[in-house]
Formats: sequence, structure tokens, C-alpha cells
Amino acid sequence: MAEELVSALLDGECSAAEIRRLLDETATSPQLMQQYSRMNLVREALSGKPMSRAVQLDSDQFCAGIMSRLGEMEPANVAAPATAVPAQPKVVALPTRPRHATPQRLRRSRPLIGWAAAASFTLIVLAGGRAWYGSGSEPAATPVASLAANSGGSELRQVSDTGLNRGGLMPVSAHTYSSNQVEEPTELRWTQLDPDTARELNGYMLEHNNSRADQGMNGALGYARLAARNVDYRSSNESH
Amino acid sequence: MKAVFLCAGAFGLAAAQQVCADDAASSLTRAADASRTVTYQGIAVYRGGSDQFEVFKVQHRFQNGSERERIFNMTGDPVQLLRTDDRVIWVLPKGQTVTRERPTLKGVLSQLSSERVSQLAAWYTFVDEGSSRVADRPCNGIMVAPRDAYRFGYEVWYDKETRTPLKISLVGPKGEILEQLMFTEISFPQSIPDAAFETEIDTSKFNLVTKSEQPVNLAAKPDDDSGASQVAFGSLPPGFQVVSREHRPLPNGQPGQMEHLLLSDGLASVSVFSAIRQPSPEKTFSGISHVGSVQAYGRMVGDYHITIVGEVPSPTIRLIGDNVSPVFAPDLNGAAVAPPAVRNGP
Repeated sequence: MAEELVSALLDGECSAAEIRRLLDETATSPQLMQQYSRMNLVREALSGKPMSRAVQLDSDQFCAGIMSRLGEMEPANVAAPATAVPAQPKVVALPTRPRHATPQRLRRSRPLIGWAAAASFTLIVLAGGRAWYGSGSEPAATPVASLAANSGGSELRQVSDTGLNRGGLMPVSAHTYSSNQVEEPTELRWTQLDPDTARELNGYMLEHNNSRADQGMNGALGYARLAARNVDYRSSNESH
Repeated sequence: MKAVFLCAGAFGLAAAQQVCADDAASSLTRAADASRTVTYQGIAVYRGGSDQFEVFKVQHRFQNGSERERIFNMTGDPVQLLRTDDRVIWVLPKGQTVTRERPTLKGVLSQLSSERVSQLAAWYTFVDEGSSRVADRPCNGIMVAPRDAYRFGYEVWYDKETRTPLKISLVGPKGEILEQLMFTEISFPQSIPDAAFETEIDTSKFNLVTKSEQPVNLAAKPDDDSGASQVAFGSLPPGFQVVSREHRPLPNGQPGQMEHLLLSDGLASVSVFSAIRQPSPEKTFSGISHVGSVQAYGRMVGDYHITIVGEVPSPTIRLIGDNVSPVFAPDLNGAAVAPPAVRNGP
């Protein structure tokens, strides 16, 4: 129930009594503060606001955030003076809607929406990361922007550059997403290829090295390359 | 008088540079020759790309005009190469297989003739790199630097005493090492016994895979090798030309044949494989990829799937691949396309 109230607060839909109750609950619930922090970050991301760092809010910060929100809300919904606490610049300004405009069933689903938004955001970052980090060039950002647009955001900013370039995320060239250069070939990692295609390409490479081993000094390297890659090639390619 | 001295100085400098280049080129020739005619054994490290290291034990003997060589890796799945002159056998315990290759391999450090080195001067410069030490032996270095962006450079360090190349590097346009083979230990015994060139692995139950015994036909003509070439090139990077053509079975045991054209500038080389293929996007390599310094480019041209592979910069692969077209189909302008000229081998 408290999580539902946090969501409602971020939507500017809490009554004065609900706000007071929320403040009381945060005094004894660190999980609630984390919930607030997490949902706030997701909303910032989806709304295109500059991303806050992932911080653990303490009780005072949480209260400050709430009071800041209260300061932005309509006077009718405010029970305490908004000037009592300075506004936090990280807090998202959301459009205020009349309370009667929110059906009760929608409010009941707010926590789920919050988690869905968080999940969507994660997907966007991961999907975007594949293109984003691979080439470092601007065309690769296109799918990220389009995903963000489809998710209701106007702009998506990088949250963190740690972790996204690890853990098996494969960089993909900007060529892949280049819409104005359709003739540009896609750049693929050898390891990304279909196994049969990779084996075939290995076969071509070894045939090449085998044939040109007497073609100049480079033959020495080709010879070593042939030996170095022969295990992978031969172990799966002995049917002929 | 001052101008005369300046001119003489400039001429002298140019002449000195030419002498150095000639010396470097001739040193390269002698080093390549030594790699074949010197008996040596040692440990060599191969570095291909950023994530591939292999350590090899190399034994090479030159005796009575005949070469014998045995190379085996000391890490990972074992692979052994046994060579007597141009007869090569791979022993692959993992796959319980012995393969007999086409007689094309010419040794771990292949040779360059003086004629070929002189031809290379059109596309490469030879620079004396001075002295250094490799495998605890004093060495001299030669940089073979490309004159344009269509090829990579090479750096060769050879033993001062025996002239055997001990370190060979493929060098990128920014001076980065793309690939390297380097001895970390080496000795030059008078001889190595025959037993050293035999595998200790019991191969009696291994499968024997014999590949085509047909050597690469460097003297082939377009019409004397089972018909005309399948593909032709609208243009090629400067210095590159077709040096051999072969027809081979498709890899992975697939039915059908592919044509293999080998292009070279005398040092760098690029293979162009073409095969008629039913389009199957998920099973057909289409695009650009690379592993280490080896670049690959695949595309469908009509019914042909073209795969280009080589240790050259990506734009060179692209230029070759984008200018290849089937011989029996008209080009974009509707004109007939001539088959590629095949140059006699060196």
C-alpha cells in the first residue's frame, strides 16, 4: 500500500493525509525510501531528465524530496508549507492532474507500472548497449533513440558505463544500423556468426593460408596462423 | 660552389639511403634463404590479434638439400605438423586424425627470392631498423613499410650470425603489431636426429584425410585449368594481381566446388572464393568480419557467393570484393567482362 502511495506521490495524486502517512512510514521503512529512489530514477530516465546517480536516500533526503514535490503541487493538495524544505534538483517535475482524473483501479496498478517501467528501462539500456558501445559512433545510437521514443521517452541518456560493456554484450558496428548507407556491409564478429558459417569461414581462411604460405615473408605468419587455428578447424571439419 | 656542395650532399644522402635500402632488401633475401637452409630448433610464440597466443616448439633441419620440420603447440589441444620438403602432415589427436596437405607449405619462415624483393620495391620500402636482441641473440631488423594504405607492413628481426629470422611482425598503419611470430629460445645444432621429426603419438587408429595432391598452379592460364574463371575484377588495388587459380571442394564437406583465386602484390595476399550458392541469409556469410589481422568480406553477386579473405587492411578487401563480378554475366554497364589475367608465378 505504501508503494502505491509513493507512485501516487510521484504522479502528484496524493492527498494531504496520504502524504502525512507516507512521511510517517518512511521513518521506519528503508525499503520504502529505496522504492522511491528507484522509481524516481526510472521516471527521470523515461522523461529524458538528466540522470541522477544511483543513490541511497536517507530519511531526510526522502522527506526533502516529498516536500519538494509538494511545493510543485497544487495548493489544494498541499497540507504543509512547501517552503519549509528546499527543493531537490534531482526530483522530477511531473504534470499535476486533478485527483478525480485518476481511476482507483489505475492507482492500484501503479506499483506494477513502476516495475514495468523499470524493466523496460533495463531492456532499453541493454538493447541499446549492444549498439551503443560497439562502435562508439553516432549512427549506432539510432535504435536507442527509437526504443526510447517507443517507450514514451524523448531522450535516453547513459546511466553508467560500467558493466554494460562486459558480460557478453557484443559490439555491433554502426554499419548495422546505418539507414542511409544500405550498401554498406554489416560488420560482424567472427564469434557472432552462425556456427556453420563460422566453420565455413575458418575453412576459407585456412585454405587461404595454406595456399599462400609460400607467398613471401608473410607466409611465416600464415604458417603459424594455420597451426594455431587448425585445432578448431579440423576437429569439426573432417568429413571431406 | 656552395650549391654544388649542397647538391653533392643531397645526392650523397640519397645515394646512401638507396644503399641502405638495397642492403636492407638484400638482407631480407638472405634472411629468408637462411630460414630454409639453416638447422635450428627452439620455442616460438605466436600472437594473433589481441586474444590469441600459441607457443610452438619448432625443429628444422636442412641436410643434403632436403628440409625436415616438426612443429607442435605446447598449449591447448595438441597439433603437430610434420614436414619433409613440401609434403606436410598434420597430426590432430583431438580429432584422431592425420591429414595430408597439398604440397604448398614452404616452412615456418618462407623464402623470398631477390627477384621478388626487387618487385616489392614498387609497393614497399625497406628500412634498416638497426640492432636489437631476440631470444638472447643479437639481431638486425628490417622494416618493410608499405608505400600506400592498401597493405600492411612487416618487421623482420634476423639473427646476426646465422641470418635466421627470429621475429616477424605484421604491422598496422599506426605501427601497431597485428600479428607476431617470435622465437623466445633458439639454438643452432649441427644436426637434429631423424627421430626428432617423428611423432610420438600412436596414429595407427587415426583417420587419414588426404587432401588434393594438386599443387597450386602458379603457371596456370585462364583456359587451361578446367575452364575459364567464374569471376572477374573491375579493378584491383595497386600491385595486386591474380597469381593462381584452383577449383576445390566446398568446405565442411558440402557438395559442389568453389573457385579459389589468389591475389598478391608479392608479399601480401588475398584469396577470393566463389561458389554458386542458393541464397540462405542465415547460413551465408554476408558482411565484413575479421579475426586477428585476417579480414573477411562476403557477399552474394548474382548466384555466386563471394568470400574474400586476406591479411590486408579492410578497405583493400572491400575494394576487391566490391569490384568482383561473375564472368558469365554482364556487368552493370552491360559490357562483357574479361576473365582475370593470371600472372606466371615467381
